[in-house]
Parts: sequence; structure tokens; C-alpha cells
Amino acid sequence: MTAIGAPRARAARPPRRGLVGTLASTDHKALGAGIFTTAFAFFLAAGVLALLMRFELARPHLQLMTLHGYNELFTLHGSTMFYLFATPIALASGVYLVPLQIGAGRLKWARLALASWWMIIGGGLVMWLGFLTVQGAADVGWYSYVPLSDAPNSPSVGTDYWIVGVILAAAAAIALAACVLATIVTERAPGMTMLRLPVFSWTMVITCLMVLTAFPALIVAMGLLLAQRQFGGVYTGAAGAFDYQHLFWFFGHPVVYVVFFPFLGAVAEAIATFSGRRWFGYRPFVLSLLLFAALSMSVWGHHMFTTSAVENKYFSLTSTALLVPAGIEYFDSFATMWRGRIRLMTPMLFALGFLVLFVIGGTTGIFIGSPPLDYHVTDSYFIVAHFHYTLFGGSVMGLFTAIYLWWPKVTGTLLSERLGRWHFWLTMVGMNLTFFPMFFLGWEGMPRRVADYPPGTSWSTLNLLSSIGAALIAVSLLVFLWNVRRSLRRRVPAGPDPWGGQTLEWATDSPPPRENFLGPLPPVRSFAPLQDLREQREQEVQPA
Amino acid sequence: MAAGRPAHGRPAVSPPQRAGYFAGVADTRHQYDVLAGLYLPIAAGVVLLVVLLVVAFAWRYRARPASAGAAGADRRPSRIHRAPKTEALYVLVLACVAAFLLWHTFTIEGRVDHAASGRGVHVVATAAKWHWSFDYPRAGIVQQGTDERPPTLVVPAGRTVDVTLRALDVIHAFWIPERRFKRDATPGFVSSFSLVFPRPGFWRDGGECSEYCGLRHTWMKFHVRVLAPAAFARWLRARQSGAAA
Amino acid sequence: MSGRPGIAFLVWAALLAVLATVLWAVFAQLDRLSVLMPAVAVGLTAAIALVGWRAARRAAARAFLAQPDPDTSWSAVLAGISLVLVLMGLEVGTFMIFIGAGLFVAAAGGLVREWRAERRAR
Repeated sequence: MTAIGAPRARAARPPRRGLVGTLASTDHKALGAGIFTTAFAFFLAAGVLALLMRFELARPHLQLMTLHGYNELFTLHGSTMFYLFATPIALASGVYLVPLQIGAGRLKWARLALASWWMIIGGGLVMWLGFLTVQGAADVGWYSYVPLSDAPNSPSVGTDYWIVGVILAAAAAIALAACVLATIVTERAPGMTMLRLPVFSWTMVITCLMVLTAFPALIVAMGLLLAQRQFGGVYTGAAGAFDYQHLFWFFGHPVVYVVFFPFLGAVAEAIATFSGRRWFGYRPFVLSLLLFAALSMSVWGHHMFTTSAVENKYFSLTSTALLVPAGIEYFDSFATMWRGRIRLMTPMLFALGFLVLFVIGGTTGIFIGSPPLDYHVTDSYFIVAHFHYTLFGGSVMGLFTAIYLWWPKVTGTLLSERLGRWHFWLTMVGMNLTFFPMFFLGWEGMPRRVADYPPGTSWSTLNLLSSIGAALIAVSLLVFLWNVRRSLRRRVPAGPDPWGGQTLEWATDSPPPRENFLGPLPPVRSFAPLQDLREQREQEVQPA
Repeated sequence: MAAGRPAHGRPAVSPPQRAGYFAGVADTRHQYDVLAGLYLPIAAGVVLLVVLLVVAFAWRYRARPASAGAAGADRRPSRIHRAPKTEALYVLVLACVAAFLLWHTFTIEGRVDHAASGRGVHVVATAAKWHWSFDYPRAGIVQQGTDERPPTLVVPAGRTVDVTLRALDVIHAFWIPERRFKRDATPGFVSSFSLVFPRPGFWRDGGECSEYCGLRHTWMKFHVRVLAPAAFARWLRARQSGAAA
Repeated sequence: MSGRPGIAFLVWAALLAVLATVLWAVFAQLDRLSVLMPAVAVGLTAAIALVGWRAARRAAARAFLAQPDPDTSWSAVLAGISLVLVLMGLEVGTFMIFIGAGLFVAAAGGLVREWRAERRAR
């Protein structure tokens, strides 16, 4: 049901708040877009760090940088990606979309969310400030194990800045999650029971629950680390080292699901929309989401299989059990596409790409959920490959699904389909070229966090291929940015519902007015109100 | 064929009592290959299935322009949105797959984790920034590494090597990729495990530190030399009488 | 099923509790953090369920009206920035902590004023 405006009309610009007004806006749409943009900028920055690392690793021997420099790069790459890009952008998606999807006029506790945005900006700047210090930025790895991150082993003030940045970003995430969850609890439109929440909003529910229950462990871990560095005596001995790992990974595993679930939700919305069918098996899916999240809170010890400090069998059990809810998600994806009317627009391409790439990450995840197998590949490039398939192939592909899907709603304009297809295929080739060779590198014995490797083996070729892939990913992102710029200048009007959407956000203008909805909402009788109306109309025109 | 008998005049490598075992200690590489041989085909099969389904569904159910009269012309998308019995059956199948994988994992983990009785060659592996050292307490010798020169871990083929692993400053990890085995070395915590090396050989950089431990983590490695038992005994005696490592 | 989000949260808390109980009772991993962290997670979720239950009931009881927020809130921005300064002060020096704390007080004052103005407008 496309609704492109008059051929020569240009989409109206949203009311000019001005940049200054946007920076302090309590309108969840401006705020969500602001956090989203900030996070995306950090994504590009962390991507540049990755590109530098891949340039170094393309050939054996150190060509571009010192060991110390390399160690700073991978520390800041991982930290920026998790704390400053992926978590904020996942929550920002909820900040923007949840009120619209539930028919609300606002985000609850918007001022708290606004303050959080500034904590993320500030935290990020403090973290990166380390690069300007004499001893450089933090070089302790993004999980900064104790005793390595202790004062005697890592005296640099850059590490302290890093800890402060992490605490700020984590506190901001908790605040944002509280706002989004509170909005879902109190601001749903009449008739929208919990079991009529759109799929994306359900993924935001469990995302927020995980942030609220797991992120405090990170703040405790980091606060105690700061105290340890100042005064000592906090993490002592082997027990202290293991305590730190428990605290960190209790946060560290759920975070990868925090940055995943909203984008799974986006993929589900895209698959449903572009198959012309509502999402299949909604109720079992909701239950499987709850199980998925509960399991993700119970697997943290699988990062410690080689420590001899955890009950490997339990964590192997919970980790392997993850294949059940993941399998349901795939079943529902294909069942939604089955006998649908599939349109391969760019959001759908990215959604299908997600399905293919994430399953590689997921199955290798089951592989490493087996301790004897993990004993070989953990802390090797196999793991780097695994988590990039889940984080890039999963979260980032899902992120681009979300961007291409909701761009018309947010900006009132359309992105170019042609450039979108270029972006998609460059990403698919680049991503696989970068990360698939890493499975072999790890299997053959290349550890993580190394700036160099022995010459004269297959590792040189594999690393070179991987680096070429990284350059391709960079090109794909340039194509995307070009698409963005072009779209914002041409302003092809999108109208309220260019795709035939199923949920309430498509029932208002693009971009939505300040109060989100003017006039009465469509009746909410299921999780896909607009699809209900569409099917009802089809029934009246063509009785089955 | 009992293990532990002197090797004089016998074949250099004791035949295992059962596949993948030497002197009651699992050949970690063999156990890994068995388990990976179960997991990998299943993983590959699942990935292939997903790729096929994506391609097939995107093709089969693609939106076609409405053409009057032709069978299936612009058919309406199906309205079926639930299939509880099918899903329940599917969940059962998934749970069975998980149980199957876990059963084999637990079995093999039991074998791999089993620390032997201590009748083998005892090596104390010490990790410190950024080099390894290997003590042979019963023989009274040390293979000492430095930041510039990695040490060589010398072990007999076909015999149990009981490793005691410790770290002095930060967390390191002992990884021998050829053996498919790794253990963390946490300061203040001593861990023990047993390995067997079936065949003689030399692996340059055959051992690595795989837990990021600071500046020179990249270069914290050791070599692995596996000698036939007789040659190992000779090497031990030579080292005891003061020859270089 | 009714619109009470508390039920969903309680279901989640129950799942967490079952998984934690298996860890403790079947696999006997009882170091203090492995007991504390899952227990806190269950407790927090149950608390969220309780608060959410009551909040959802109260929200359902009042008429569904868009409660407009003021368009900008510089006090909120200042609150966020001042917290950044306080934490930076832990590294940079006590003077920064004081600056940040002072600004936070100012921001809090501004927020109270905004909140009062909102209540008057309602």
C-alpha cells in the first residue's frame, strides 16, 4: 500500500527545532535520533580502529604501529563498540520507536533519558581522552581482567579514564532501559494488552529487563576496580581474579543479547511487512523470548571454561539450551515468509542477510558451548570470528534492517533502493571475507589480541584476505553514508506508510508530529493493528 | 598391553589400550576430533539448510505482478499465523538435539579433564610476563625462557605428562594448539592436567599464551619438542649433567 | 490474558529462579557471587514486577491523555554533564568533583522547577 506523494512534491521538513533545541529536547523522537546518531558516530570511530588493526595484521611483522599502540586499538575498539555504539543504539531504537508502536504520546521520564544521552557523550569523550595522555589510552582489553588492569600492571591514567567512561555509559544504559520499560508499563494505548505488543516492542521489554538486572554487575565490577587501583585490597589473590570475572561476565554475556534482541525485533517486523503476513506464532515466540533472555542471564560461566573455577557442565547445559529459542526464532521467520508475497526491498535484503549470517554465529556458538571444544578455540581467532558473526552478522545487519525500514518514518524521505542494494551486497561479501578466514586462523592456533604472527604459514594469506574484507566493509559504509546524504538532500517524500506496515507507527505522519498521533488511533485488536485493517478490507472486497 | 612398562627394546610408542588413550590418559586431540566430528557436520547442515530455505522461499514466494486468469495470480498471502502442534514437535526435536550434543560433550569432557595419578613426567609450567619456564622437579632441571628467547617444552612421546600450571603476576593461559588443549594460569591458583603426545616431532611456537597479559603478549610463546622415550631419557640425563637446554 | 506487565516480569523472574536453583542445587556452584548475582537479578525482577503491576493499574485507571512535556530541558542536560564531571574528578582532581557537584545541585534545582511548572499546568 505505497503512498508516495505527488511526483514533484518534496517532503515537508520537520518543524525546525534547531540544533541547539535538539540537544536539549525531551521529545523522544529528537532524543532517540540524537542518541542514535551519537552511537553511529562511535561505530564509525571504532570501525576506523578496526581498519587500522586489520592493516597491521595484513602482513606479518609490525609495520604500522608499536605493540602498545595495537593493544590500545583493540581495547578501545571493543569498548567503543559495546559501550558507546551497540548498547546505546539498541536502546535509542526503543526510545524512538516504542512510544509510537504502543500508541503513546511520549516517553516516560524523558528528562532522565536526555541526561543519559549526555552521559554517553561525556563518557565516550572521557574514554577516548586516554589517547591524549602520555601513556596512552587503556590497553587492558575491553574486559580488563584483574590483575592485569590493576595499578601495578597498568599504571596508565588512560585506564582510569576508561573505567570512568564505562561507568558513565553503563549508568546511562540503565537509565534509558528504565525509561523505555516504564513507558511500556504505563503508556500503552487502550486495548493494547501485553499480548498485543508488537514484536519489536516485546524485544525491547526483554532488552530492558536484561539491562536493569545485568548492568549493575558491571558498575560494581568497575567501581571496585577503581577502588582497587586507588587503594588495593579489593580483588586479592586468585579469588579476587575469579570474582572479577564472575562480576564482569554476569554483565558481559547479557550485553551481547541486549545489543541483539531489538535488532531481531526489527528483522521480524521487516520479514512480516515484506512478506505481507503477520509474524507467525506470536505467543510461543513471546515465551521463547523470555526463555532466551533468562538463559542468556545464566550462561556467563562459559567465558570461564578454561579457568577451572566454574561448574563447566551447568554453563554448557544452559549455553547449548539456547539453540531451542533460537530455533523457534528461525522457525517463525520462515513460517512468516511461507506463502507470503515477498518483496525484496532493502530492509528485507538485510533481514535475510541477518538470517544467513547469524546462524553461522549461532551454530559456532553452540560449538564453543561445549567445554572440550572450547578448550582449543577459546581466546583464539575462532572466537573473534564467532562473535563477529553474531554481532556484525546479527546485530549490525539487524541495525541496517531497522534503519532502512524506519528511515521513511523518522525523516519523511526515502533512501535509494539502488544504493541500498549496493550497500547490502558489499556488506555480505566484505563481512564474510573479513570474518570467515578467522575461523581457520583460530583453529590453526592464532590467539586473540596479538599484533603479529609468524611468517611463512597460511596465516599470512588468511590475514590478508581478512584485511581486504575489512576494506570492503569500509566501502559499504561509505555507500550507506552517501545514500543518507543523497536522501536528505533530495527529500523524496515517503508518506505515512511506504511499505504497507502493520503496526501503529505507520498510522501517523512521517515524521510524526510532536504528540505522535493526531486524532484517534486505529483499533488495537492484535499485535499488528494495521494488518488487521488491511485483511479486514480484503475480506470485504474479496470474500474468501 | 599394560602401560608404564619400560620402553627398552619395545616399540617407541605404547599402543593405546583404547582408541584415543595412552596410559589411561585421553589423547586430547583425538577426543577433540571425535567431538568436533559430531558438532561440525550438524552446524554445517543447519547453516546450509537456512541458506537453502532463504533462497528457496525468497524465490518461491516472491511477489508477482497481478496477472488475470493465471493460476496462482497474485494469490493472497496466507492468513495462517499459528501451528502449535508443529511447533511443539519442532521444539521437542531441538531439545533432543541439545540433549544429544550435551551427552557427548559431558562424556568427552570427563575424559579430557581427568588429571592422571602422577606417574607420568611431571612438569611445572610457570607463566610470568612475558615468558614461560618449565620445571622438571623430579629431574631437577628447568627450561627457562626469556622475553627474547622462548623455552622448549620437551616431553616423551606416548607417555603421560602431568602439568602443574601456575602464573606469577597476571592471568596467562597455556595453549598447545596441536593438542587441542588450553588452561588458564591465574596467579594464586594452581591447576593440574595431563597430556599425552602420541608422536615425536618439533613444533616451533607450538605453545602460546592465549590470555592477553599486557605488552608482549603477542610474543609469549614456547616451542614443543616430543622425543621418543629413549631419546627423552637421554636428553634428561644430558640436561642434568649441565648441557644447554 | 490481561494487560498486566507484572505477569510477564514474574514469569521471567521465575525462569531466572529455576535456572539459578539448578546451578545451586544440582551443580553445587555456591561461591558467593554465583549465589548473589542471580538472587539479586530475581529479586530486582520481582520488584520491577510489583512496581510495574501497580503502575500499570494506575495508568489504566486514568484517562488516556497525552501528557505533554516541555520541549527542552537544559536542566536535564546539565544534570548529565555534571555527573560526567563528578566522575572525571575522581581522576582529574577534587576541584572537578566540586564543580560537578555544584552544577548537579543547580541542575536538580532546575528540574524541580520544571516539575513544579508541569504540575501547575496539568
